[in-house]
Amino acid sequence: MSLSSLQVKKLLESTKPLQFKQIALSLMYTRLKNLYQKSATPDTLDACMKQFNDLFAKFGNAMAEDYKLATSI
Amino acid sequence: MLLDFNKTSELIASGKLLHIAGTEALLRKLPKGNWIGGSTEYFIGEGGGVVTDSELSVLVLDFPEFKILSYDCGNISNIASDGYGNGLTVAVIPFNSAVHTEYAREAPGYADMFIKPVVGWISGLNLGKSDQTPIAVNGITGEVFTDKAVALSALMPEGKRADIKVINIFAQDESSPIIRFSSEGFAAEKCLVDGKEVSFADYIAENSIDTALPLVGDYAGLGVNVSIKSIENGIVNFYAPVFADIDYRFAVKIPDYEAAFAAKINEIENKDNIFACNCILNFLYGNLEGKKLDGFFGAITFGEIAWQLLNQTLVYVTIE
Repeated sequence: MSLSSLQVKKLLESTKPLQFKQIALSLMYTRLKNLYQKSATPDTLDACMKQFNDLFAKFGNAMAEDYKLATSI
Repeated sequence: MLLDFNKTSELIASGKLLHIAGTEALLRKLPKGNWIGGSTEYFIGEGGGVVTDSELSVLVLDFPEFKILSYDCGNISNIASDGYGNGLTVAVIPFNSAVHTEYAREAPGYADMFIKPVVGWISGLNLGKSDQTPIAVNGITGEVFTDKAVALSALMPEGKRADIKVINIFAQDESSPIIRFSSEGFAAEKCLVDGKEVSFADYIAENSIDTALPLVGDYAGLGVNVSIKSIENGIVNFYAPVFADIDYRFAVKIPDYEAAFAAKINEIENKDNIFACNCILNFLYGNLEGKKLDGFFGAITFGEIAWQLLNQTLVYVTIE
């Protein structure tokens, strides 16, 4: 699974209190959301997209399912 | 497992890769070998919580390919990226050192952090003794550090993956107000309580808040504790930094620590961990000495690492 720039933008701009089960995803999402709130530039978005996709590539299904569940609520 | 000095030395001589926790005095005397170590005098052993200066907590890490590296403030940012692509990094950082502060503040931003598994702990001392210094040891070189972290990175076997897990018996008290801080740091004078700026020390006093309870930050479903160290001259000092942009609340009171841990541990299906450590504040406030924690043996620590610095948690690693 790979997130597009638009998906990552939507994720980082979400005002819903998303909840993840995977610790790495919870910590990374919180950090990236805070970074993006401070500097919502295309470069920041690209860097965030890379990190999310690295995480999904590394951890595979469990991480992807956690993301899908959290964002579908 | 808890072993005496001679048995630990024999294991080192066998060439096995070891993670060792024990007193500064014992660690300094151990022979060189494939091990890293950190100081503490508090442990969870098979018989329960124990305070001892005559035994060491020894974990055998059965991974043939590994490296042991030391880090100061100048290169600690490489700790995750130095790890293997499919590996596990276990770090020991001396309490109250500059590298401890650096890691606490900056670790979430280090390259490859959260992508590669990084666990570990903050080494400490016996709180009742004045002649000890928190240390980290690189067993290969025999170097003992008060100002550097030591990390062991191991390559996981083909088809296996190290999975970091956290047991946190605390949760945010949803009936208490949201607390925010305007900047990150190990201390705070002011905070925002439901958006209104107040003196944090006054807020704690006026609301008779038990400072044995940590603040719990909301990290997208994960509660991350920040424990209160002291309140001095209107300044609240913490064991880990608070961050701006995180919603904190004080934790719900835990009437029975042992029962709370037992309940959390009973929920866990796979207790087969290769590494576990638990916080000194859990040990002390929970009166864990002599009490059993089924299956999560290891060092009692002055801070836990699950990628970033945590407080008042039990961190463990399983192989999936």
